[in-house]
Amino acid sequence: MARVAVWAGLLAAAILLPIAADAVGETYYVGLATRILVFALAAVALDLVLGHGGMVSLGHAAFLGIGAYSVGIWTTHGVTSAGVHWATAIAAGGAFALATGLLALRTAGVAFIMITLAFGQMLYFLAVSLKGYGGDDGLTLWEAARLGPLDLGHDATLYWVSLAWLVAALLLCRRLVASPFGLVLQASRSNERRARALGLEVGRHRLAAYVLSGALTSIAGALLVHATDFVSPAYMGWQRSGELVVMVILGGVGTLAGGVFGAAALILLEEVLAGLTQHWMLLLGALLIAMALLSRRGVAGLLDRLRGRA
Amino acid sequence: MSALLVATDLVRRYGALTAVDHVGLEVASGEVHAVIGPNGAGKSSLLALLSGEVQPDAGRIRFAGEDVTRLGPARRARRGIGRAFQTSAVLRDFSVLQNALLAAVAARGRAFQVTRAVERDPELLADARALLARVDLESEAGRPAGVLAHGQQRRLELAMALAGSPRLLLLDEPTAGAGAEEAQAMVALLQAIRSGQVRLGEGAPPAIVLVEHDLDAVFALADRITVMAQGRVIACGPPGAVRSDAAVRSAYLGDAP
Ligand SMILES: Nc1ncnc2c1ncn2[C@@H]1O[C@H](COP(=O)(O)OP(=O)(O)OP(=O)(O)O)[C@@H](O)[C@H]1O
Ligand SMILES: [Mg+2]
Repeated sequence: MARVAVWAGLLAAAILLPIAADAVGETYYVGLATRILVFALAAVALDLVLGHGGMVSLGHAAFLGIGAYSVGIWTTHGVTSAGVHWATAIAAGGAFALATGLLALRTAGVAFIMITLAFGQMLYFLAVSLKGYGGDDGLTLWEAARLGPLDLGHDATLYWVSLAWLVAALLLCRRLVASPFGLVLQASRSNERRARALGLEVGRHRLAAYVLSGALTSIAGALLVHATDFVSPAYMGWQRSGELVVMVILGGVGTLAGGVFGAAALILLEEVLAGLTQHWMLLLGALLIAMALLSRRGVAGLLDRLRGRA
Repeated sequence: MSALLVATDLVRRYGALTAVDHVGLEVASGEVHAVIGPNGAGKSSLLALLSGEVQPDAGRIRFAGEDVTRLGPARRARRGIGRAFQTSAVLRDFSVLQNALLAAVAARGRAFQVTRAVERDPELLADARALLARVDLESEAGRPAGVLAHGQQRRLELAMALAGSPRLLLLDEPTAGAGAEEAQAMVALLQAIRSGQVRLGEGAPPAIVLVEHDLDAVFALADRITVMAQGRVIACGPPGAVRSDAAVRSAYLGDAP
């Protein structure tokens, strides 16, 4: 019960944030918060496969890119309906996940990491070769997306839309993880041999989770472009995939909500540290090591422990 | 008695080593068929072939009248072959109850259900608790399976293997690593399973292929015994005959404590 109250409070605060920012004239923070929400969405989606299915994907930025180019390509052709953008992102991201998952899921462990990385880089170079859509330099969009009457070019509106996606994704993933499907998915991570000996074809569970994760991450990519009005291959570099993995680890692997903390922590740290010193990456590295030593389950685990003590 | 499982001429090589060398095995419905032999004789390899974890280089396996040689472990499990491993393979980071719930999910064919939380599903919960009750683990339901005592983990694994009411159970050294008392409890449990006192759902008691080093357990349980050495079957028959077999005595029983 207390847990529900905490989440309700957090959600209420999140909903009110743009209004508060507006009142004190600090609208810059709405954009920053949107960025956090969007990466949180991607991190939650990644945690579904990484934390629950044991699939360490180092190619998830490919899905960000697919979502980004869904928006970019439609917009250059004059289609600004966010509904169309999202449907395309889900379909293309899901299809890419299905095709690459069928191959990648034949492997496990390091081989899986390498093959997802390879698929990600393939898509990166494909984007670079799209000369008609900006190639290497990327593509600036001059028209904002619309969702019915809503103008996603309006910062607060986009913030709320992103928040809605994040909450929906969290609820969906939580439900999935608690279901029989989710139990089998986690069993495949914990002891695949045992699961198979029980008659469970865990490969299908992994693939389904991978496809859903890919589709959700693609939505994050689309939202990111709604926020920046800019698309480029940089969205799907392997460094970006690495950042997503760091967010999941930082927030707490296998906790779902940890993805939100991890995204917030990494983006805020980047923001603060980058203002302090040029060598902020070094500081960030030190912090990550400290985090790993302090809590195996990241920020989420740390919060649990604090609550336990209080 | 009709043969439930018929394996003929099974061969499995690892490089130059032939771990299973033209092995045949027949198991009748409801029979307890022990497989004994010295370390490295190929007993676990044989079980892996029977469960589908490993594919044979030659030979055939028929189960319940159907050729299952090319089927993977999950499909064989769904046809009624349950399995417990030599090093117990419970889900260590799951709670004991979650382990049982997973077995219940598999047994009910609900692996793709997404509409309801497992821990709020009265049917699955009832199944899982019944499973734990069969092996005296109800009081441990909330603990992580990885922290259970060795013997408890073996019982949990056995309960999970029983969940789907298998027609054949493959057990790899269920008393290994257990103290004398735990081993006795395990033998008693297996006897209860064999006589049908411990079971889930309808269905006759399962046949059991029992790989075991503890000869007291073997002679207490087995209807027939197959003796392996260096990948080959060197004897097969009822316990009395095997006990007095000269080849067996020199290969195995002779150096048993
Ligand atoms: N995956 C593998 N790769 C290579 N060799 C293997 C493999 N599995 C088993 N072997 C070898 O096959 C032989 C038979 O092994 P197996 O585990 O079947 O024996 P076992 O009768 O079960 O012995 P134990 O009583 O010690 O459990 C051994 O020499 C073993 O080293
Ligand atoms: Mg063995």
